[in-house]
Amino acid sequence: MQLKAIEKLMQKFANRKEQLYKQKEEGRKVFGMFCAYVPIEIILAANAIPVGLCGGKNDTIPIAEEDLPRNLCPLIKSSYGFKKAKSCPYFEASDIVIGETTCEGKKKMFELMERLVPMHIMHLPHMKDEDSLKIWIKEVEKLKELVEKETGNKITEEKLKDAVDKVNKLRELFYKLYELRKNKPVPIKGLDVLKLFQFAYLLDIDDTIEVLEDLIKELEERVKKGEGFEGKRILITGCPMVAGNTKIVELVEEVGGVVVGEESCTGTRFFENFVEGYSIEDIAKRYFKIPCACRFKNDERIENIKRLVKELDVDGVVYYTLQCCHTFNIEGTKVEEALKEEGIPIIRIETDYSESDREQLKTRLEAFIEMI
Amino acid sequence: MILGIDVGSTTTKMVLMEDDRIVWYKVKDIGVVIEEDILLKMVKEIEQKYPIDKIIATGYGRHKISFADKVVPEVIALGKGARYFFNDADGVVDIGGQDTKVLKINKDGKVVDFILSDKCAAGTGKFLEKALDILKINKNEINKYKSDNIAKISSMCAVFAESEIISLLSKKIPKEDILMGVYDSIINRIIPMVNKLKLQNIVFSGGVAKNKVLVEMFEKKLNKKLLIPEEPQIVCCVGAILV
Repeated sequence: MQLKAIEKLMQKFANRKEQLYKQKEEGRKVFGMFCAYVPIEIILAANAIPVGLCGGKNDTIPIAEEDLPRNLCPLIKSSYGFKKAKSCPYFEASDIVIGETTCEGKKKMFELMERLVPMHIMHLPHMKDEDSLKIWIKEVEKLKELVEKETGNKITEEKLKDAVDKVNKLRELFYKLYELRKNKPVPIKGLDVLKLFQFAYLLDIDDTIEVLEDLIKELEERVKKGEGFEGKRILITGCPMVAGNTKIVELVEEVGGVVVGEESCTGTRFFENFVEGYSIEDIAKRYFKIPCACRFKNDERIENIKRLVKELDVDGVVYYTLQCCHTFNIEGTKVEEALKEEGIPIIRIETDYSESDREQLKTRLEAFIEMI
Repeated sequence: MILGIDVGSTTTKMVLMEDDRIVWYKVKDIGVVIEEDILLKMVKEIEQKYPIDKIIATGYGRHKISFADKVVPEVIALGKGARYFFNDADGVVDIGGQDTKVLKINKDGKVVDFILSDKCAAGTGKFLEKALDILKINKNEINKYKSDNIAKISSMCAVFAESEIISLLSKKIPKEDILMGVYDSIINRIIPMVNKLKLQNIVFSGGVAKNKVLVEMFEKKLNKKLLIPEEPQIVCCVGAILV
């Protein structure tokens, strides 16, 4: 019983490449980005198009390893490989790519990537104090200037207001989706939601909003009829699972679990917190709050996980780390301790984009789901 | 009677039980590559002697056994099995061919927490097998090799450890010293896992538990006795029947 809205999502994704190149022909600029920290309101306000470029496929890793070390996060390698191989249509469509100083791996990779594509790097302070916020507000202002220069379009107050309202609307819809996932049985599988998040980084925002509106109506119907999926309710937390990477969610749902939430850049970190106001400062403040493990003392993330466990009535947490992602891996210790203290079962999984560990992971997840 | 089949990565175990009593068992030196036809033939042979009411499958290759009545994840089975052999056990260390499992269990043998070694062969049965290959030591004569001089193997990676062993050999370090170093590196990988789960009465299962010298070293490092059943390879299979 495939959801019609998800079919629509797949259809829109299939057409996206063509649509994007058409939008480009019409003179709209494309801004590639590597992170949930890029304030897309600024890009949208200049009538430009933001697209997420993080790589989730193994195929481009070998070519990346010509320049990058092997023991590096697969997301970084895959992303770099896509540019080097020129094999990602979204990357190739990008006029400029926005990077940020998040983790060490990405930051240093950008130094190499700069040689292949024009880039602009935003300085994301790792501390969360007032002085750091000031730096970040400045960075968002600088982004505005850059976007105006690149597009030749002035970002007026009115345009910015429209963009803020639109992205907030998208956030509101994701909040509604999460509301619906509180139901038992849960009306939608985690794999469908993951694809929605993944494609939300790529699709035209109006299309994503349309899909979400359809989806919510459809899910409300399901809830009314009591339809949905039973199983141990799992929250995924950790590294982003970008397009091409669905392994863990697939496995969880193969062995009797159902993913009801994801504390991730392809999850709550993408939509939680509204932009409250219409100034650059208001926008900057919302993004500054994103609790990514690259930040120093990221306890808000732990609180978020605990809250999500309660709200979504989660049976167990899968802590997902990409191999060599030191920030999320190390932070995992704190998260694990905090959850164990509350008696919330947690399993830590470290993997990459290869299929070689699929069976071992399945064994582990199967046992975890049986255990909780 | 209930027949348990545990298809591991390197060996296949079969156990026949009646009312919680082990009637018959067998450990076969072929793992996940075993053909289903051969398994079925083996089952037919057992059936000629014993009535089989039910077949339970577990282990890495458990999904291969299409004729099983029930499939049990091996981690869950292992906990149950450990408690069957030792009713005061609160933990299990299982060194299998594919991975190392460390489990914390409650008084019913239910797994309450577990750690599995990561995507890596270091500290697994496979690693030991590989080392024996390089050292040209026969698996069946392993208990003959013993030394107080433990060669230092610092690499945590099975592949790098291999070249480390070769370089130790070229320095004319005695085989037995190197083997002790291999044991030492396996044990050093497991101890933090045991400590993390705060285990007290530990059942040691899997083929590596038959290695007396390694067991002795392990016990010395842990500063406690390990609980080892007569046939440590069937713990998981027995547990699968009891789940």
